[in-house]
Amino acid sequence: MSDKKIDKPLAIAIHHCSDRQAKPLRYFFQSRTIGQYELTSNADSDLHKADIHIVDIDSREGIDYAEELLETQPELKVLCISFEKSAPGQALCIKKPVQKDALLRALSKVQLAKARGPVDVQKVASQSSQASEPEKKDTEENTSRFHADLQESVVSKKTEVYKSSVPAAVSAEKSQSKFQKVGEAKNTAGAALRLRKSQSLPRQVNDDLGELEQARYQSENYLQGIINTAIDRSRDEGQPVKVTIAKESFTICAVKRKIWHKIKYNTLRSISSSPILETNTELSALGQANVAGVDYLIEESLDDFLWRSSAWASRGRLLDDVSLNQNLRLTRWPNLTRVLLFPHASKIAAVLASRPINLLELIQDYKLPAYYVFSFYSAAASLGYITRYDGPRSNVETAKEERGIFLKLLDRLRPQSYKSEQI
Amino acid sequence: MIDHKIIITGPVAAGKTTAIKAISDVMHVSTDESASDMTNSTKSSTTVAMDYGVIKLEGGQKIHLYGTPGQERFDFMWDILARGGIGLVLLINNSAKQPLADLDFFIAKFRDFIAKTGLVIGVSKLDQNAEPNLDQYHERYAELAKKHGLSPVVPIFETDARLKEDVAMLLEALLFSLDTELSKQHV
Repeated sequence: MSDKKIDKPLAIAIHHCSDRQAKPLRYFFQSRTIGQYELTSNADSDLHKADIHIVDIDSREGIDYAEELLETQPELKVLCISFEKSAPGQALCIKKPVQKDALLRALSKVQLAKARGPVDVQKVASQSSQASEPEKKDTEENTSRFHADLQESVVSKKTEVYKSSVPAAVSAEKSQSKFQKVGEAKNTAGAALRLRKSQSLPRQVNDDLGELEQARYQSENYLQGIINTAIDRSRDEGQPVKVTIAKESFTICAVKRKIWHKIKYNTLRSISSSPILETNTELSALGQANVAGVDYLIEESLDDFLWRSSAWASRGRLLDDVSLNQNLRLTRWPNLTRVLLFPHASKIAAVLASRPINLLELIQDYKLPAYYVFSFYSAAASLGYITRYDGPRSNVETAKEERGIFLKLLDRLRPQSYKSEQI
Repeated sequence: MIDHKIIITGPVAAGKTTAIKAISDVMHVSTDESASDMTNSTKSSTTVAMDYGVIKLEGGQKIHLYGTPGQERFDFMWDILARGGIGLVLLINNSAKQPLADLDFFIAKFRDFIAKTGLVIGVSKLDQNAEPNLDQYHERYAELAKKHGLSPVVPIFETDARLKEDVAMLLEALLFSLDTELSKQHV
């Protein structure tokens, strides 16, 4: 890499970018940076065929990939893009929507970083996030292009018809398997890039309080918060509320606890896990009669939908509104036979239902991964299943003679009960 | 070697026999007879003594599954079957006329057993009858728990007794509820 001639365009590889994010980037590199940067698709077989790797870290796979890339191939140059400001390790991160000038500046910095040593991540991130007027215009253009891309992507794919008679959970499970197969195929294609663990393991952040404190987000900026706003409005107005986000829409009825939509599983996952601009969201009340007239293909439980969306929004991060030392209590178990089931959910529910306990104790005393504890909290709090508890506590735990046999039974049950998903 | 048993109870046609069939490792033993009373309006045969199934564990240990007969006239069997049980799975048929009244009835009947052990509730046939919904079950159970001095929060899941994974999740939730310390030891 280092002996590459200066006049040769630098090869750029893009990883874990959704179509929505990748299309403008591809367009940019193919039309605006001729002679300076060019996209390469060969990096899948050999990482070193790319001079700079751009990784979208707004998905769990993306952040795992970036982490492993930085850890196992420190000689590579990595630029992260995200709606957040921080990136793993010493990587440089620029904020999405990616602005042309910020991207060019960041690429130059990454290019020079090796000679100069580590880049001051926060400083550059902050510089990159301070958009000038032309950049703001760029952002708006990018945003509308993203929406156009999203629409194109949705329309161009063959519409998958879900029969309304098929239970939503079954449809979701089928879509999920399909989604996982697509993911596996991608991994196979990039054999040399199989840096991330095939079974993404829970991140053990429970021994690092600083990291825990940083892992926070605000539900209002995500689909999770928008659904809750729509539920409140539907309840207040006594009628269904239609929510439109970009080109996707769904209708919520708070009284019936139902949601109608035709959003594909992976599209929903993508929408749920990315921050949503308030300006891209529209809520409108619908009369009861109008719901039937809307061309929705899926009817499902609002609680299951909200649980799923919240777990995806969290991705192991903690909601902004709770302290790690706040005692909490589960007021009802989530419907674990139907909601998106992720590892440790039944354990977390059982402990939180049994006695008041704080999140830190759950992680440290019960050796539960913070990633799943926080995701569970986010999903359960979103549905109102968790309350704060400020009363006295008793920490009495009795030894169970049956524990040995219970553990054996759990091992026997696990293959049946635990078709859980990594979130 | 000490084996343990889990009791599966509930009203007629809640799916007790089906649930045991779904999860049992051995050919399940049933005492079904042709229904000769009001039951025949819901199904052709009904359990008159008990259903029995087994989950075999490593080391030769077993978990015995006992299903009680659904009709109240066989309630003398319930105490006999429940003796020595480690927990209760209560299945409620949501397509019945008064499923919440069934919940009241079975919680009251098994109150002492639940207080000493643990409880999970599976609501079957929610797809056939959406009301009462799970919210209503949780609310009603909370009232009953207060009245009978039981644990205020128990797992209540939508359940299709034909699905092994649904029955397995009920049992898993029961085990973690019975002993939360299991969380520390089970990966």
